[in-house]
Amino acid sequence: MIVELRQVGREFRRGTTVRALNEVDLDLAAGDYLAITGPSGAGKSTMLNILGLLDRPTSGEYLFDGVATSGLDDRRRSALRGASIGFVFQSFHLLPGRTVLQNVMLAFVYGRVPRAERIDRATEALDRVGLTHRTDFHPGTLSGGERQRVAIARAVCTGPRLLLADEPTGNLDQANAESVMQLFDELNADGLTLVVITHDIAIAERARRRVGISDGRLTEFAR
Amino acid sequence: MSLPAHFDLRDLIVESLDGIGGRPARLMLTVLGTVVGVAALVLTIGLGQTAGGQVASHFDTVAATHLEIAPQRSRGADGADHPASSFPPDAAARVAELAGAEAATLIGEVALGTASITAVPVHDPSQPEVTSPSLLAADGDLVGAVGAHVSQGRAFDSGHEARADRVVLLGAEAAQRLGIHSVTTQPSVFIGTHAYTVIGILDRTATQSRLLSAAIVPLTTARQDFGSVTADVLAVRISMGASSLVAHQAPIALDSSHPDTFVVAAASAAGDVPGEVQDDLALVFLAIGVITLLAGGFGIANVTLLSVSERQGEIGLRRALGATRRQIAAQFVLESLVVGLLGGIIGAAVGVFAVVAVAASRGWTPVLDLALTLGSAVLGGAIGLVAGAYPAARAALIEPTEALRATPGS
Repeated sequence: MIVELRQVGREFRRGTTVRALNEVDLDLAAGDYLAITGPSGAGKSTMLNILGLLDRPTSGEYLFDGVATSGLDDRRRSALRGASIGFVFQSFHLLPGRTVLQNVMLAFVYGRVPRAERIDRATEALDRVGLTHRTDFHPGTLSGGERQRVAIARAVCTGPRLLLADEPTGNLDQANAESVMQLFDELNADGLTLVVITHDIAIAERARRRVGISDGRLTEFAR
Repeated sequence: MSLPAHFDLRDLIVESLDGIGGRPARLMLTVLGTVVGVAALVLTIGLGQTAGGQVASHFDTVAATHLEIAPQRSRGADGADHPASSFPPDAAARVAELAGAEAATLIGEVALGTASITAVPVHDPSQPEVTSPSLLAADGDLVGAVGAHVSQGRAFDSGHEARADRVVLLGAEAAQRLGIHSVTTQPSVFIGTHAYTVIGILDRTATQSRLLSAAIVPLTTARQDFGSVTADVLAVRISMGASSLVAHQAPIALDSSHPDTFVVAAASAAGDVPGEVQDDLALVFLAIGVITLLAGGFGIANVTLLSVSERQGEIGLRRALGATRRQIAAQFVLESLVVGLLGGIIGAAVGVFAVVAVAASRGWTPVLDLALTLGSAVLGGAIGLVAGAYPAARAALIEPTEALRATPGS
């Protein structure tokens, strides 16, 4: 199992206590493709942050690749995140002053990739998303779809065990959204474990598994 | 599992420099405070050292080119000090002829008794009582031997001496006290009952500063009008490097059978360095430097803080890519350290140029302690380091999840 959530809860204290996640159980095997849907404020993002080791559960246990993560300090969590988890965001989060290639290579700065391999591996990742002709361009000159594909290249170039995508098509038009989702299908077909958070049912339909989240509770839809 | 993040110093430096270089205009404004502060510090310290070097070299030059010879003093039967010898009448001429000696003059104080030096012939009781200047007598080349400067008129010469003319040279202070500002009308002063014509005013001397507050008459005239006058010192100007030779030969020339009855010493320079005034000014500059430097530090802290809040998205992204809180903090600390160091280096360079420019305009030799200059540049870096600490801590505490959502990326 890549992901095992055991009775995971997450509370926020802002005046009153808000339970963003409530006794959530979830297993993801290698190669799974999961879509998480739900209305705004239902706990989708909290779910993604817990899965991505960006946030800690206040109760329960999260095992990532068999490792209990609650006991890990910031350094170990960061190392695990850098080496094994890739992120794709709705707003692409590319650094505007750097070229496409340099943006992808940023992933190697905190990963365990020797400097000599960085250019080759980043170029390889850009080849995979079909952007080798854009390596020296700056993000500002690219279309939204191209930018998201650069972000995907950055997320997968370190060879993660899990790819987390938060509304990856939220800023894209129909055609670009389709090409990005096509790319996800291909990555999953190559064995990458994928979690996509979306409020778009059409996007969610492409995943092999779908869970809905409402008031912090998870419900799996049968297919 | 316990894989250490592969983030080495080179990555840290590259990422930090990229963060700084991203906004060159802002960088310029940020370093400005540190530049001005460090430049003011270097300028203050440098000018202090340059002026100090200048004063020291002035004293050295005076000491190397002027000698003072005085009779040995010994304790007499009455318990008081008495000179053990006296100068021969032609002492100045004898010493001036020595190789290496350029000019010599005998100077002696004239006891006035109850007599006084006044600019008016009659005693006017309605006038406030003025302290009379002292009266000195000299022969030979007075102006040359003590390095004096005659601001008005002229000094007396061998002709005045030979004829025992009643002429007087006034020190600037004495002239002011007597109310004499010009010699063009040939004013007279009364020394006791004798009228003397003022032929010149001395405004500075290299040695024998007592001349400035005195009226100076030819030795022959003094002896004629006031009886015996004992010269207490023979001032000699020598050429550079002739000091030991003249010091050895002069006593022999004065009294070949008892040369040890004369004491030879290097002359001390006249006049006090206005040290206190200089120190006050330096303190003001130093205060300006320190305050500007502090302001510069606050400037760096402010801009770094602004940069942290603007780059929340980037911080969140870096955390998502595996950066630890410590690595985020290190990046921002290094950024402000480099900004501070940059300001320090530019400021030190500006300060050095300013010191050289000021020294050149005054014809001085610039003196600047290299360690202090480099230290000032490093001080800029230290300011940056301190200024970056708080923003870096803020950056490290940013929650990546919120940061990633709050900021639209590109």
